[in-house]
This record gives sequence, C-alpha cells and structure tokens, in this order.
Amino acid sequence: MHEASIAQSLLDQVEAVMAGPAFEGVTGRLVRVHVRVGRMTAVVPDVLRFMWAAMVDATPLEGVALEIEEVPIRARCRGCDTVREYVDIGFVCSTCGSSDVEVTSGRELHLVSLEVES
Amino acid sequence: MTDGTRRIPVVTRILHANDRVAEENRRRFAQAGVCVVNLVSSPGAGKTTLLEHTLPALAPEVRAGVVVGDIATTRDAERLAVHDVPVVQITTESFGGSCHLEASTLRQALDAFDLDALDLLFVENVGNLVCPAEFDLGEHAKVALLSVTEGEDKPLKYPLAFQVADLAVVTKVDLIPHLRYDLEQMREFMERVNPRLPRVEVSTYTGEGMEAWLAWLKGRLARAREQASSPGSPRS
Repeated sequence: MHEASIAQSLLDQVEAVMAGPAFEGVTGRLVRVHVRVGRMTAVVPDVLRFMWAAMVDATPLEGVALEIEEVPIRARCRGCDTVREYVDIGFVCSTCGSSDVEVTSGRELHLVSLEVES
Repeated sequence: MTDGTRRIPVVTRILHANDRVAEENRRRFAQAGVCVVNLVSSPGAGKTTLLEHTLPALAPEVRAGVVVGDIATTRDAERLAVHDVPVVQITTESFGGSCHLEASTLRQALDAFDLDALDLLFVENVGNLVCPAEFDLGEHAKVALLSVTEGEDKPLKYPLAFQVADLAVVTKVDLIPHLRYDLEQMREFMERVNPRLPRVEVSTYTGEGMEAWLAWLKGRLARAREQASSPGSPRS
C-alpha cells in the first residue's frame, strides 16, 4: 500500500505550495489537484485516488478532487531508433525485433498544477 | 479546466521529499566512502540467506554492515548478527506496516552505524517485488533477487523491479532438478524486460555462482570508491 505514502507526500507538497509564493494573492478555493502518473510506475491510479480522498477527509482540503493523467509507456529502440508506445514492459520493437530499448516516458510521478476558483 | 477556475502550474516530483532525503543519504555515503547495495525481492527469495553466505566471504577484506527491513520481527537481524557485522533492523510496523523502505527510514537507521568504519552497507528491503522500486534510498545499486521456485515468468509479471535493477540474482538454482523449471525461458523473459541487466545465477547450498556474485560486489565497491574520490562525477 505504498500509494498511502505517495498520497501523503502529495498532500505535504500541495500544502507547501499553498503556503508558498505561487499562492500569494490567491483567494479562490482549491478545487482540484492535477497529477501525472506514468504507466510504468508501481502506482495504481484508483488506489491513489482512494488514498487521497481518505487523507483529505475531515481536513480543510476535504472535497478537493485528484485528477490523474496517465502517461503511456514510450520507448526508443536502440537498434533502429523507432519510437513507439508499449502497453506492457515486455519490450519487443515491432520494426526490428530488438528488445534493447530506452524508455522515454511512463516513469512520471508528478504534481502538475493546482486548480483554484477564480 | 472547469468554468470559473484557473490552474496554477507547479510541476514537481510527487516523491520530491523522499528524493531530497535520498540525495542527503547519497552525500553521506560518499563522504564516508561506503558503497550501498539495496536488495529487493519477494518474501522468501533468499535475501537473508544470500547475505549469510556473503558476509563471511567478504570479511575481513571488506568491512560490511546490514540494514534489514521487515514489517515485523527481528528474526533476520538475529540470523545475520552472528556473522560479527553491525546489523540494524528496521521494522516498518511503526510506519503503518509499510511495504517498502523510504529514504527517511534508512536515514534513521544510519545513525546506528559508524559509517566511516564500513566499506559496504547492504540494505535488505522489505520482501516485496513492487513497491520498493519506486523509492530512491540514495543507494549505489539495486539488486533484484528471484528464486527459481517463484516460476519463470516473474520478470514479466513484476517488470519494474527488473527494469530499475543494476543486477539480477537468480537464487536456489540447486533446486532446478527437483522442479519443472525452464531456466532458458526465465532468461529469455528477463532479457525481454531488460536486456542490459547483468545476471548471476547462484546457490548458497552448493556455492555455484557465488564467485560471480562476489566479483560483481567488489567491482561495484571499486566504482563507488572512484566516484567518491572524484566528487561531482555523475551517478550511475
């Protein structure tokens, strides 16, 4: 259940951003937190959403939604330089058959933006 | 975006706090000149047994220590302590039965060591092939263990652990004659997930492959020493 500690890290960061310079002069209520989660992370989006909801429950951030953008796995073949999307990590380049690839996206675990009422 | 709202861009790693502590740990290891190896596997793959056979083989040339992570009990630490090396057990029960070690949990354990008196520190992570892959501890290398009794297809089922590892150790190979196990198939699956992953196949019972494992460790130790003596060089 490492999603719990990931949700906790996320909450700590959201609170830090809200207390920091990016939020100076912001009066609108926080309604949504946008994150980007790569498909090649050990994170299950539904579990992360559930943990987030549990974490903010009965706090000033109760009701703040977590919007998760899933990032597909993309990799560049070292054999023929083709970049393509992969649905799982059993990499085999469909162009040249090599499995020697360099992952270019899919490992993201990022806080992207905070959406506030304007 | 919904009507009447606006987005304030942030863009940071969610695990930024963990990464920062991992970076501190890394600096501390470099200052003390200690190489840190993080062992990751499912429960029962043989992390503790491998260490039981590795520690005596390294001594006295290499001064080693061990941090052991488990959800509960100090059994592993007791098994390893007889080898006359400093051992610190972390039980993650107090961290909510956590399934992995984080950089800050490791940092707490480090205070119990005289790091300057160590060459090599093993971190035996909580038995779990999923969660530890996501948390940088500041280690020099991750080693993923896989026992033959777990089946050939685990690299495909738990690919991330083998993607982020620097070495795969296949354990309990002495059992292969007693199993319906296709070693070639496991190798093929492992190579499909990460063709650049070096691999050793060992049995602590017969001693097969142990020399290759020890040679890899000593090579990694030598590289960590080089990195420590030329600060600013990129981490690899």
